[in-house]
Formats: sequence, C-alpha cells, structure tokens
Amino acid sequence: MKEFDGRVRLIYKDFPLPSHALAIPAHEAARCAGAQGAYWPYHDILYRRQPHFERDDLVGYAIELNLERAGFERCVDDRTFRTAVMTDLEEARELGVRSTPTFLINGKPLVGAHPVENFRDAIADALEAAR
Amino acid sequence: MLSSPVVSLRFAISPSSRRVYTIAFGLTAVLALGLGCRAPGAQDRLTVDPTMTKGPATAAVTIVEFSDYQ
Repeated sequence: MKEFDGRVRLIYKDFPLPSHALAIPAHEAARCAGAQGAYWPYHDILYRRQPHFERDDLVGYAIELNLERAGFERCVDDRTFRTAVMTDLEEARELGVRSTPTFLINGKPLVGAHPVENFRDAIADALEAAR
Repeated sequence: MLSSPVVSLRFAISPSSRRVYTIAFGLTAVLALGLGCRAPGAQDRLTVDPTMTKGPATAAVTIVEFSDYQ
C-alpha cells in the first residue's frame, strides 16, 4: 500500500470459513471495533492472536485498544454485525470465491498466499491497464 | 465472450428477479475466476464498509481481499 500510495485502494471482505467455528464471532467483533474507529488495529490483532477468538479473548483485544468496553461487549453479544458478515459471505460465494485468501485486483483474481512480488506485478499491470 | 450465456440465463428465467440476477452475476464471476480473466464490474457491485478500506476511493487500482481470521 505504501509503495503505491494514493493509487491503490484495499477493501477487506469477510469470508469466515465454515470449518472455523470461531471465525464468525471474530469477524463480527472486528466490525464492532470498526464502529469505534479501530477496525484495522483490531484486524491486525486478530491475525497476530489467531486462533484465540473466544468471547473473552475478543473483549480483551478491544480493551488492549482502549475501546469502550460496554459498547463493544453489547455489540458482540447482540451480534450487531451478523447480517453484514453474512452479506459479505454471500457476495463472496456468488463471486465463486472458494478459499482464502482470494484477491480481486481491478477484478482480476489472485487466489491463495503469494509472495509480495506477485502483488507488486499485478498492481503494476493494473495501473498500466488503467492508463 | 463471458456475457452472452449470462444474459441469456437472466432473461430466460425472470428479468425481474433479484435472485436470478444474482445467479447470473455469480456465473460471470465464476467464469472469470476459472479463466483467470477480469469479471467486468464485478467488484463494483459489492457492498463496501468504509471502515474496512484503506486508500482513496478514487484510486486507479482496487484490491478486494476475501479473507478469514481463523
């Protein structure tokens, strides 16, 4: 992102795999953090701490980020963002996404974990095509 | 190349059905993913939560990441 500053936008979409029992609560919790302006810091914590996504873990991460605890807990317990996460999941399935991570770079798919060079090349190609 | 069968399917079933439209859209995307080519406008139809984005909306390149935390 820094290398292509201003020329690239990243959109994160939830795709909790059904085989991961705690993935959906984690995705919902990240959106709860987003509601308090801390989506990306919480997102980063989730990747560092996976697979520890029990409720107490999720609340603990919010506390680490100095989020407002009661509001966060209410958001998680009420499953405020359940529909939003499910919408992402449905959209992914309709697109034919089957595994994670899957990237669309100006619509062109890049599936699986790739070295950074592959992303650099794909972004450069997309920038060239967009001229 | 990709649009013809999708358009045919959409109108053959019910042009007013959102579900059918979604299926048609899905077919386009599946074909695109399978063939490794671009699905025209596919990512423009996705819902976007502004808090889950980085970079300007006017950027020349948009990367959509579908991922799982666990």
